[in-house]
Amino acid sequence: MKESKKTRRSHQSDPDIRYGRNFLNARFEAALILAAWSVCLVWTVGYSGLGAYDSSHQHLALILGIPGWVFWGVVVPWVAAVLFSVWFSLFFMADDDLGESDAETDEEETSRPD
Amino acid sequence: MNLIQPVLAIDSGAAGSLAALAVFLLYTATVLLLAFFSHRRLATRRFLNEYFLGSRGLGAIALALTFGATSASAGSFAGFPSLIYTHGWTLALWIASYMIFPLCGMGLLGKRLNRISRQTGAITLPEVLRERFESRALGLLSTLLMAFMLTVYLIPQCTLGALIVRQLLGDIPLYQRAALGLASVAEGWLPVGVSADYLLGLLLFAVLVVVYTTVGGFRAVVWTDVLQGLVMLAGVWLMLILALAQTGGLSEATAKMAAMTPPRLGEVVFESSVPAPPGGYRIASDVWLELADSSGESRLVRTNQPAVILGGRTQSAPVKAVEITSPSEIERVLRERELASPDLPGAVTPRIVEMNPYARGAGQPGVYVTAPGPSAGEETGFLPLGLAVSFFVFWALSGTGQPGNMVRLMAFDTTASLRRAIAGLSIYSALIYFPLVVIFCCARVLVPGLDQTPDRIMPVMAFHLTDAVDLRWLAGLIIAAPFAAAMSTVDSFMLMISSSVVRDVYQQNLNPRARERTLRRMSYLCTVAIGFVAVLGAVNPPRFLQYLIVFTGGGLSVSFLTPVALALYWPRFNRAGALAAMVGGLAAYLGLYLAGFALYQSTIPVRPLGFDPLIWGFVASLVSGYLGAKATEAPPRRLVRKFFGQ
Repeated sequence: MKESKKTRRSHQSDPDIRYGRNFLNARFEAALILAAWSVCLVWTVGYSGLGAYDSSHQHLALILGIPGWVFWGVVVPWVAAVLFSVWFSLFFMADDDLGESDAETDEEETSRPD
Repeated sequence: MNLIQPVLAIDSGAAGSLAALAVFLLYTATVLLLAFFSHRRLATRRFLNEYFLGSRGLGAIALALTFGATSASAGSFAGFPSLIYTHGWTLALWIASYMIFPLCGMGLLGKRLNRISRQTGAITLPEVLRERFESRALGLLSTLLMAFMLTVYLIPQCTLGALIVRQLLGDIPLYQRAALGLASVAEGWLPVGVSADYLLGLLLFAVLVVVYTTVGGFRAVVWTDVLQGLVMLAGVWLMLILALAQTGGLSEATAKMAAMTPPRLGEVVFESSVPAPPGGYRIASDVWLELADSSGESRLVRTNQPAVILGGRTQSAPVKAVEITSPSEIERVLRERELASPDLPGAVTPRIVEMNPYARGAGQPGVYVTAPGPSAGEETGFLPLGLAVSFFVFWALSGTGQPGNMVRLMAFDTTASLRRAIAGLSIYSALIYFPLVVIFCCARVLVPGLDQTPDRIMPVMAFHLTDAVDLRWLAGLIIAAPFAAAMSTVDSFMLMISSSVVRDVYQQNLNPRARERTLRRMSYLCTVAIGFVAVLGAVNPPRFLQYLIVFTGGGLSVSFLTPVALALYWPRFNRAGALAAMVGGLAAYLGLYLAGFALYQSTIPVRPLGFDPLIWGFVASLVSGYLGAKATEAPPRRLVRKFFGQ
C-alpha cells in the first residue's frame, strides 16, 4: 500500500495539476472508510431488522446473556469493526507529510515585542 | 422503612455524600492544577495558536481521549442510561453506530483537515473555509452559524452540570447552608420555579469550568479531557462489575427483562383524615406502596417524587408514580423488600389518581429484549426501523460533522498520532458504550419503578450498587463520570466560540493588525463572557430547550459536514457550492422541523419515508453543494494547485 502510493496523475480534471500524495492517499482511505461504514450499516440494521422486530420472546435465544439478535446484529459487527479499525489505522493508513507546523516558529514569534 | 420525615429532612446518608465531596474536591484540585500548568506553557508559545489549538501538538493518547470525551456529552451519562432503562435492549441498536464512529470521525477528514489548516495557518474551522475558498462571506456565515448553535448547545450542558453537582453534593449540610444563604441573597430576582440549590450547583459548575478554560486554554481542555476520559472509563467498569455481580449474571438479568411488561404511569396523592401538624408531613420519594383497588386486587406502586402535606392541610399535591405490572416482578419486589404495608401514620393513606398503560408494549412480555422497544407515547415503539437507520447515520456521520470534533483534527502533531488515536478510540468506545447498555439493562432489574424520572437512574444506580457492597465512597467516583462528561463538552464549546469571535470576527475583519497582548486580553474576556451567557441561559432554561439541543446538534452537522468534506476532497468545489451546501442542508433540516410544527403543533418533525430530518439535511446539502459548484465557474487553478497539488 505505502509503496504504491506514489504521486501520480489520476482522474484529474486538470491535466496540468499533479495531485499530492496526501490528497490521493486520504481520498483512497476515505473511500474505504465509507465502504466499511456501509458494511456495518447493512449488517447491523439488516440483521436486527430481520431478527429483532419480533416480540415473541418465548423463542428468545440468549448468547452470553445477550439476546441473540443483539449478539449477532450488534456485538459481533462491533468487534469486527474494532478489529478492522485497529488494522486499518495501524497497518494500512499511510504516514503522510502534514506540512510544517506554525508552532515551530513560536520561539521567534514570541520574542517579538508587543 | 421510615416514610414520614420532617419537611426539611435530608433524604440519604451523609457518609456517601462526604465521600462524594472528597472525590469532587480532589477532582476540582486536579483540574485546576492542569489549568495552571497549561497557563505556564502559554507564556512560551505564540498565544492564539497555543490558546486555541495547543500549537498543533496533540499526541495519540491526548487526541483519542479529547475526541472521545468531547463526543461524550453529559447526555451520554444521563440521557442514554435513562433511555436504556426505559426501553431495554433496543438501545444496543440505537447506539450501534459507535462501532465505526472513531474510524469515521477521525479517519474521514483528519489528514486533509490537518494539512490544510497547517497550510493556511488556520486555527478555527471558519478560517479553514475562508482560506480554502478565499471568501470572507463564507467565513463570516460559518462563524455566525457556529457561534449561535454552540451557544444554544452550551446552555443545557450547563443545566445538566448544575443538576449533577446538586445530586453529588446536595445532601451535605454545608451545601444546604450555602444554598439557604444564596436563597436569601437572591430573594426577589430568582425566577419562579428555580431553586437556590440548583443555582448554587450551576455557579459551582460554571466557575470551575470558566476558570480552568479561561486560564489554561485548549491545552488545559485537552489535559482535563484526558483525565475525564479515564474517569469515565473507570466509572463505567466499576458499575459493570458490580451490576453483573448483583443481578446474578447477565443471563439472569435478560431472562427477567424478557418476562417484564411495561409499567403503568400516573399519579398518586396522600390524604390525611385529620389536618397535618404545623411542620407538615414529607413523604420521601421512591416509596413502595401496596394498594388494593376497588375489586380488592393488590397493586404495587412506587412514587417517583417526594410528597408534602403542608401543615393544616389534609392532602398532598399529586406526585408521579409507577405501577408495576409484571407478576414475576411484583412477587420479586415484595419478597426482596419484605413490604407488608407502608409505614404511614394512621391518618395518612395513599390513593391512585390515575394510571395509564404504555402506547406500545402494554401487557406484552418480551418488549424489553426486542426492537422497537416499549414506548409510553408512541404506538410505533421507541425505535422503528427507519429511525434505526437514521441513528446509524446520525452517530457516525453527524459526529464527524461536529465542529468540536473537527477542531481537534486540526491539532494533532503527526499522522502516526492520528493512526494510533483511531485505534485507541475504537477500543475505548467499545469499552464505554456497550457496557453502558448492559449496566442499565441490569438497572431495570435491580432498581425497578423509576420510569417517571429515569434521568436520575445513573446516580441512583451508583448508590444502589455501592450500598449493596458497603463501599459508598465508590459512588463518588462513579458519579464523577457524568460530571466529567458535562465539563469536557462545555469547555470545548466555550473555547470554540471564543476562538471564532476573536480570530474570525475581530482579528480577521475588524483589526487585522491587532497586537498579541490585545488578542490575549480579548480571548480571556470572550471566554469569560461566553461562560457568563451560558450560565444566564441555564438559570431558567427555555421550555423547549431539550428539542433545541437535538435541533442544534443536527443543524451543526448538516451545515458543516458536506461543505468541509467536499472542500477537502473535491478540487472542483468552489465557494458557491460551499455556500449552497451549507444553506441547502440547513434549510431542508429546518424546513422539516417547521413543517412538523405547522402540521402537528408540536416539536416532532416531519419524517419523510420514516427517516430523520438529519438524513434529508445531508442529502439536500450534498445535492445543492454539487449543483451549486457545477453551475458556477471552477475555482482558480492556483487554489487547486495550492490545496491539492504536490
